[in-house]
This record gives sequence, C-alpha cells and structure tokens, in this order.
Amino acid sequence: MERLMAKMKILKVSKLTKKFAGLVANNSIDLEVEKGIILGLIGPNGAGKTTLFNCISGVYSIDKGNIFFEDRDITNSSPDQVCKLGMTRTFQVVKSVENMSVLDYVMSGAFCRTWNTAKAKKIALDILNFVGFGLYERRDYLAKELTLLNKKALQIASTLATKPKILLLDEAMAGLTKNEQQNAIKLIIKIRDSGITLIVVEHVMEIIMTIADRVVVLNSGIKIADDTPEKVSKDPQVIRAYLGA
Amino acid sequence: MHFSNFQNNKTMKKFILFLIVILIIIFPTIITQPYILHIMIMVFIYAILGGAWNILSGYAGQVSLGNAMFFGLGAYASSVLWLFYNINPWIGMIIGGLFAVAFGIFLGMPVFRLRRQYLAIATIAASQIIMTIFLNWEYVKGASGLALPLMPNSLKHMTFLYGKNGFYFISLAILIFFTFVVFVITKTKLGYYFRTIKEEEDSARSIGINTTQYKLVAISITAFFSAIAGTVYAQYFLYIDPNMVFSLRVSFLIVLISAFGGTATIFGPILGACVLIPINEMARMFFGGAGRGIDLFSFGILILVVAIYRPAGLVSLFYGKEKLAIRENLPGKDGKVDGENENIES
Repeated sequence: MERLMAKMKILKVSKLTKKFAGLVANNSIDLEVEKGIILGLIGPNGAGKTTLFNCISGVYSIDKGNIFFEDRDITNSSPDQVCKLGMTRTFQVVKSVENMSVLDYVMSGAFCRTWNTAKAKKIALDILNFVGFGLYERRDYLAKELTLLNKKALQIASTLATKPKILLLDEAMAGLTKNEQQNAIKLIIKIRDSGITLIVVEHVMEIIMTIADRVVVLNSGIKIADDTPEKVSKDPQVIRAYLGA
Repeated sequence: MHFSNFQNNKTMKKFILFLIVILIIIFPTIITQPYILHIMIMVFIYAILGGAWNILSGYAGQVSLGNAMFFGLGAYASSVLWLFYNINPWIGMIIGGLFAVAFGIFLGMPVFRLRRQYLAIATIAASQIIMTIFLNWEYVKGASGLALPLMPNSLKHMTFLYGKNGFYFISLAILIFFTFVVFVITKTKLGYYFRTIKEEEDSARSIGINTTQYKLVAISITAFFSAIAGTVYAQYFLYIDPNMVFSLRVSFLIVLISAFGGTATIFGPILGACVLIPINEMARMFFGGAGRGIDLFSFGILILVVAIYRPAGLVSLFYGKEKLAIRENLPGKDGKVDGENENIES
C-alpha cells in the first residue's frame, strides 16, 4: 500500500474513448499509474483490455480523450515515439521475428538508446542475463527455434533493452504451465524492483491478485473498479461481471 | 563443390579473399582481350546494382521490382548535365545520385504504406511510368536516346575511348567502396534495424524503430548507388536510350542476380553477377539478334536449380556448412540449459 502513496504519476489517461465502427471498445476510461508499481488490468473477454493497450502504446489512434506520459501529452503518438520516450509494450500473440538470432533481436531493442554496436551488445547481454529462462545461453538461436516460453521471454528482453520507464505486458503468461508461470511472476517482480513501472494484462486471476499493487477492472469497455487486489476481489460489480450473476 | 577445408579457417578465408582482389586488380594486364574486359565491367556494374537492390529488398525486406528507375535516372541525370550544361560527369554522378535519392524518398513515402507483393507491383508501375515519360520527352530526345560527346581520353571527364582499362578500374573501385559501405551497414544500427523491419514491422515499431523512416533510409542508399552505376554505364557506352536503362528487363536482371547469389548477404549479389552477367553477354555475342531470349531461358533454369538445391542462394555454398556447424553445437539444443526453470532470485 505504501507504494501507492506520495508517488509521482507516470502515466495518466483521461476520458479515453475508442470506437470501432459503432462498437465502443473503450468508453471514457480514466487511469492513473504511479511510478514503480505493478498495475493489473483485468476483465472478461472483450472487455477492451488489449484495445486500451493499443491506444496507450500508440498502435491505435484514439477518438476522444488524452494520454499523458510523465506530464507530456502523447495522445496519438506513434509506437516508436512512445518507445523513445520510455514506454514499451509486448504483444498478446507473440509477433515473432523468425530468422534473427536472440542476441541480434535484443540488440535492435538496445539500439533505441545508442548508435554504438559494442554498447548495444553489452546492454543486450546484460538484459539476457537479467531475464534468464536460458536466453543468455541460447543467444545464438534463431527466434523461430525457441519454445513459446522462450519466445515470450525474448519479447520481454527486447522491450527491456529499449530501457523503458514503463512496460506494458499483454497476457505475458497465457499458454504457460504452472511452473513456468511461477518463474514468469518472479521475473515481473524483478523488473518492478529494478525500477520499471508495469501494467499487466492477465486472464489468470490468482496471478494478478498476487503481484499487482493495484487492479483496474474493465467490462464492456467501461472501468468498473480500481482498487487494491483485496478490495477488488470483493467488489460486487466485479463478481457480477466475472460470474455473470 | 566442397569448400569445407577452409570453412573453419578465418585467416585462410581472408587470405583467399585478398588473393582474389589482387588477381582482379592485375587482371587487365594479363588478359587484354577487350571482350573479356567488357564482360568484367558489366559484372562490376551489375554487382553494384544487385548489391544496391539487396539493401532495400534483401536486408530491409521491401521487395522492389523497379530498381532500373534509379539506374536510369542516374544515367540520364549525369548525361543531361554533361550534354546540356557542361557539368563534369563526376559531379553529375553525385548530383544524379542525390536526385535519385530525392526521387526514392518521394516515391517511398506513399508506396511504403504497401507491403509485400503490392509494394512490388507499385515499384514496377513507377518504373514503367518513368520509362514512358522518358520515351516521350522531347528534351531528352525521347526514344532516340542521348549520344554523349566524344572527348579525349581523360579520367577527369570519365572518358576512355581506347581500351577498357579505365572503366574496368572505375567500376571496380566503386564496387569495392560500395561493398565496404554494405559491410559497415550490416555491422551497425542500420543493419540491425533493417533486419528487424524485414522480420516483423509491429514488433519493430514497439521497440522504437520508426519503420517508415528507416525504409526511406534504405531506399536512399539503394537509389544513390544504383544511380552511380547508371552514370558509369552511360559514360561507358556514351549513349543511352530509355529501353537500355529503364526497361523491366534491367529491373528483373537486378533481382535475379541478387536472388541467385543470395539475398541479404554481402557477397551474394557479386557472386550472382559473376555467373549471370557472362551468360547474358555471351548469349548476346554468340547468338546476336537470333538468340533473343536464350539468356533469360538459361537464367530460368539456373534459378530453378538454385531454388531447389540452395534456396539461400549460391553464396550459401561457401558458408552453409559453417553455419550448420554452429547450429549443431548450440548449448541446450538437446536438453536443458543450466539454470533452466530454477528459481530466479527476486
């Protein structure tokens, strides 16, 4: 709880609205993220979680509202501009590079902050070590030769190499086994402890409840709850949204 | 063919490369037949063209089937400047290159919204539009082409009427310089960004790569060196017409050279040019007008053979085994890597 207090707001979203041909995917969503926390973003299928991610990270242009990153208006900036400012995201479906080696791909991420090849290589190797999952040992593998777990870890590694201040993880743990999930959770906490703010979209409720400092619940494009995990899990509106009662 | 004996030996490889370069440099003093030197000059020019294509389409993955337009623009730009404004061809070469860069960016801004085959079609269309314009443009003498002035032999005017040595060394020097530029590109940020853009554009954008901007950088490099090759070509023949430099045949030959030798490799286009251009030139010499199409016919067969046995291109004969060896020795290939699934310290 002490994380929430007296912390600078790194990301502010106000009245964000996104429509797809009449379907309102995100309806007037307000969101504030404090520096250094893990914000969980949950909701049933079709609640608009991924859409919100795409809007914040600049993949979609938004219809109404504003996004502020460190008090800078980044509404409708492109993903690469957003990334250079310090906000990066991963994709739900692993958008896999195929014929690039693990090291080369992470190095492309590192080139976001430097022109120096040797420096980029050093950053990439450090990140691979940090991320773990055997990626460091597999640095010469082509991305297509990796397992799903390693591909997801590679995605996180390449985004970390861009030195983000805030990292948006879109269902990083979907499709992983229980054991793998535990390791992934440890990685997420480790990233948070290194000073990076995280927004985590997840389907698996237990995971969110254990790692998130604060949880935002979306349903049909509307924010229905925004509180600590304990309070959110007791919120009647949230229970109704999930159980359909 | 087996090259395995020097595959794991870097010094040996470097030595052989050095030997080849020396051989190529003293080549004109040993072999003086103009027709063999002519073939070599064409090999060098097309190696530059294939390599330039390789930057945009091999490394950055934006396949262009209209690269002849840059080649032709370079040839025409320097020729027009030389003929009508009396500007030295060396300066014209640079101006032509910059002009082609400007055109490439102008073209790239709209067409890079397209991907894959649609981009390829758009580039064909663009090159055909340019060719049609030049065929009907009174100022550049339309289809009858431009004949460049005959000057006394001098390096200053890039004119060598007697003997082929002048152009042999000019085109060789440009090829070596260009190869060096490609080498530097592959080792730096640009090369990494080009390859990431080729792989997956959405991921590329999410790790901070402005894909449109870097595609424009790629097309600029491609356009500049293609145009330089165009100037050398024009000065060599002292005559150009739109069909010589803008036709689809040239565009396709450039693509074939690169695909045959190996795309996204430094030496692939050079190797491709070494094999395909002699066939091209000899077919013309032996069969003349009667054998029209023999060269394309043989290219077709060669491309089929390469596509079946060496899909990565002819150049993979030289590095294929080496890369395979690395693949076999990767750690954790057959089992777990140390520390796998162990608890990460938090």
